[in-house]
Amino acid sequence: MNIDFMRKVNELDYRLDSQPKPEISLVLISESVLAGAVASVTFSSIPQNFKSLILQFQLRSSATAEVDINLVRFNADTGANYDHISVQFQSVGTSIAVSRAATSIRAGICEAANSRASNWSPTAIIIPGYSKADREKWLQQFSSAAFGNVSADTDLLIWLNAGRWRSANAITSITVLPNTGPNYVADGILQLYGLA
Amino acid sequence: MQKLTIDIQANKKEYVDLTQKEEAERLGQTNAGLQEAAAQKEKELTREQAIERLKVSASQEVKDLLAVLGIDTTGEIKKAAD
Repeated sequence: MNIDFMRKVNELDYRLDSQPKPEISLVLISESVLAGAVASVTFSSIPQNFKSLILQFQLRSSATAEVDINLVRFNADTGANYDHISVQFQSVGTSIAVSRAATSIRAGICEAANSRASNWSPTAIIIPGYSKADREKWLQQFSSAAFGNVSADTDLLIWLNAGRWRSANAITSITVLPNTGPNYVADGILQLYGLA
Repeated sequence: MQKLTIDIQANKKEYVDLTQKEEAERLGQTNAGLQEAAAQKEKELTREQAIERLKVSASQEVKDLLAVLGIDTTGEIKKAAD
C-alpha cells in the first residue's frame, strides 16, 4: 500500500473525527415511588443546567370516582397565574376545555378509586426552557386513562394539554396534586428527567 | 394528610403533614372537584335517564315536541315511523 494512499486515509479519519457530533442526553434527575398516600408531590431544588425538563408519572387518585385530573404548579405559586387548553379524545368524539387565570395547570388524567386496580395510565409532561428567566413558561402534556373496568369503547381516553405559567421566573420546583383526591395512593411512580 | 417533597440537591425525601391552611385549601379543592365531577356526570345521562327526568320536569309543550320526535315521555320510546 503506497504512502500517499495511507496519508489520505489518515486525513479523512481526522476530518471525520473533528466533525461536531449531535449529542442529546436524557438524565434521570429524580425518581420516586410513593410509600403511602400523599396530597401532593413536589420536586424542589431542581438543577438549572438542562434545556428542558420531562416529568413522567403513573399515579392513582383516592377520589371516589373512576378518574381524576392531575394539577401542576410551579414554584409553589397558588395564585391565579395559569392558563391551559386541553383536547380530550374518546371513541365518541373530542371535547375541548380552556381555562384562563386558574390557580394551577390541568395536566392530564389518572385513574381513581373506582377504576380497575391494576390501571396506572401514564402522563408525560415536557417543559422547554424551564430555567430561562426571560420568558413565561409553557408545558406540553400527553396522557391517557381507562375508566372503570374498560367495558366500553368510551372507557378509553387520550388527553392532550398545553399549559402556561404567567411568570418569567426560572422553575425551581414542580408540584403535582390531584384535582379531587384528596390523595394520590401508594405505589405511584414519578420520574423527573433533564434533557441536555 | 401528608405531602411529599423531594429535594433534589439535598437528595432528600420528606413526608410532611399539611398545614391547617393547606388542609383547608385541599378540602376546598376536593369539594370543587366533586361538584365538577357531579356536573360532568349530569352531562353523561343516558337516554333513559334523560327521559325519566323529562317525565318529571318537562312542560306539556316540550313533551308534545318530544312526542313528535318519537319519544314518549311516559317512559316508552316509540318505534320511529319509517
